[in-house]
Amino acid sequence: MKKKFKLVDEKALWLMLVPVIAYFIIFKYIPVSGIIIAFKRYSPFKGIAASPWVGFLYFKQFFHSVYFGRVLRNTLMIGLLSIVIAFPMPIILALLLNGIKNRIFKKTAQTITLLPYFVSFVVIAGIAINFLSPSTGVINGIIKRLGGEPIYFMQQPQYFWFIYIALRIFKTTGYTAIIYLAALTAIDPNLYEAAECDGAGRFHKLIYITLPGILPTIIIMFLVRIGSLISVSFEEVLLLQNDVILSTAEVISTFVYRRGLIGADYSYATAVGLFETVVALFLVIFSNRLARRFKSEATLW
Amino acid sequence: MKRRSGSIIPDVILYLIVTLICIVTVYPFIYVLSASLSDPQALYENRVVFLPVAPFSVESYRLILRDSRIWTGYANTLFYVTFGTAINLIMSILAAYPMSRKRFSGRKFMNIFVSVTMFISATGMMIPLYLVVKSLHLLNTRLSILIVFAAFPFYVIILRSFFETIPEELFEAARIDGASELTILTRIVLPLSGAALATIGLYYLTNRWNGYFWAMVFLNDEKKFPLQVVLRQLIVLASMGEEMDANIGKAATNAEAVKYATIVVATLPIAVIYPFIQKYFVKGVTLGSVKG
Repeated sequence: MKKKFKLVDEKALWLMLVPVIAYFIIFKYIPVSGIIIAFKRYSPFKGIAASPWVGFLYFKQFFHSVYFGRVLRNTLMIGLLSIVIAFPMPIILALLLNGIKNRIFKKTAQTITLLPYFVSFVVIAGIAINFLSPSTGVINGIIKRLGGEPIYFMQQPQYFWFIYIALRIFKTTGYTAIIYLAALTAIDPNLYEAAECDGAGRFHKLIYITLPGILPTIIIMFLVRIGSLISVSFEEVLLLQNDVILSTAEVISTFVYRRGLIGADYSYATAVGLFETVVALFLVIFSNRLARRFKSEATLW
Repeated sequence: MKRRSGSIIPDVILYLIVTLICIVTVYPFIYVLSASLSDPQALYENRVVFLPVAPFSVESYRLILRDSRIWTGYANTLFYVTFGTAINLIMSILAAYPMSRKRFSGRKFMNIFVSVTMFISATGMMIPLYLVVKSLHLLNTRLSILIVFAAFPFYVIILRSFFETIPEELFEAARIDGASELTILTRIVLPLSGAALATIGLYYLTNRWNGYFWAMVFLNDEKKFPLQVVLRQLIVLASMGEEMDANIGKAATNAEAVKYATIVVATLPIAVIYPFIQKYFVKGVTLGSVKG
C-alpha cells in the first residue's frame, strides 16, 4: 500500500530549523570566518574585506614577544596544577560520601558540598579577595593573632596559581563528585557481598572492587580534563587578576581579552586566540582518540 | 546483618572527615553572614571569626538596600534570566526535535552543523564574536544579552539525545492519525520530556544568572547591567582597589561590612532555592553522559 501522507513532514521540520540555522550562521559561523583578520591588518573603518593581508605577521609578533612564554607557562601551569591537585578531590569526596551509611547525613553532606556550585564566581572571587585582605581579612586576622606579619596574598605573584586552584576546588568539587557517585551506585552490590563472604575488609573492598568499578569514569574524566588543559576559563581568572600579579595571573584567554577588547588590537588578539584554538583542538582530538580507544578496549563498560 | 567488630572506628573517622569538609564548605558563607551583621569596628580589628560580634548592626543592610544599583541589577538579571532562558529553551527545542526524527532528511546535516561549533574555543571566538555584535549595532543593547547566546550546542545535543529515546513508532502513529509535526512536538514530545527540559532549562538559567563577562563587554550603560556585573564592581573591583593602598583608614570599615551585606543580599535567594532544584542537576549529570 502506498501512503499518501508522509511519515515525516520535511517542510515543517525545516521551518522549525529556520531560526536555529539563522542563529548558528550569524553568531557561530560568521564569527568563525572572522578569524581571518588574524592574517590581516584589520581596521574597523575599512572593514574585513578591504583590510590588507599581512600573512603571519601577528603570529610572529606574538611568538617573539615576552608575553608568549609567560602566558603559555601560566596557562599550562594552572592547567597542570589543577589536574594534579584539583582532579582527585571529587573522587575522594565521592568515596567518602559513598562510605556513609546514614542516609540523612549523606544527603545533607551532599547538599552542603553542592552549595558553592550554585554561587556565582563573581561572589566567590569577592569573598576570597576579602578573606585574603591584609587589613580586614579573616585569614590574615589569624596570622596576626598568631604573631605573624600579614601576607599580601593578592599582590604577590607566587600565590596566584594556588589561590585560583583552591577556588576551583571549592566551587566544583561537590558538583563533580555527583558524576563519581553515579558511577559508584552502578557497581553491583553482589560483588561486595561476595567479597565480604571471602573475608575482605573495608580497605580490600575499596582497592579491589570500588576503585576498579569507577576507573573507567575516572579515565574518561581525566581525558576530558586533558582535552581542556589549555582552555583556562577567562571569566574566572579575570576576576582575580590585578596589574601587580599579571606575571603569573595572565593566561592566554585573558591576554586575548586585554589586547583585543581593552586595547582594540583586534588582529593581534585574534591571532593569539587562533593559536589557542589550534592547540586546544589538537588536545581535544588527542584525548578523544585516547578515550575512544579506551572505550573499545574496556568492553565491560 | 551484623557488623564486623572493629569497623566502628573507621566509621567515626569517616563521619568526622565528611563533617569537616562540610564545615570548610559552609564556613565562608557563615563568616560572610556574621561579618555583615557585626559591629563594623570588630570587623576592622579582626574580631569576627565565626559568629557575629555584638553590638549587632543592620546598618550595612540599610545602606546596601538603599543602593539603587543593586535593585537595578536584580531587575535586569530577572529580565535577562526570564526571557533569556525562555529563548534558550525554545531554540533548543526547535533544533533538537527535527534532529531527533530518524527519517528527517536534514538530520545528519544538522547534527554536524550544530556539533562542529563546539570545537571552536571560547578564546578563539572572543574577538570575532565581539566584532559581529558590534557590526550588527547590538552593542549596549539588552537584546544582545538575550540573543547572542540563544542556544548552546552542547545542550541542544543533550536534548536531542533525550528526544531520541522516545520511540519513533509513537511519532509515526501520530502522523498516520493526521497530526502535524507541531502537534507531535507540543502534544507528545514536550509532555514526555518534562525532566529533561527542566534540567537543561536550569543549566541555561544558572548560566544566565552567573554570567558577567559578556554583559560586561557588550554593555556600558549602568542601567542595563545585570546583577553580576554590579557585584563585580561592588565587591571585587572595590576590594582589589583598596588592597592596593596598604592600610585603609577607619572610614573604610563600614564599607567592609557593606560588602559582606552585598554578598548576602546577592546570594541568599540562590542559597534558599538550590536544595529544592539540585535533583535536576544530579539528573543532568547522567543526561550528559548519555550523549555520544
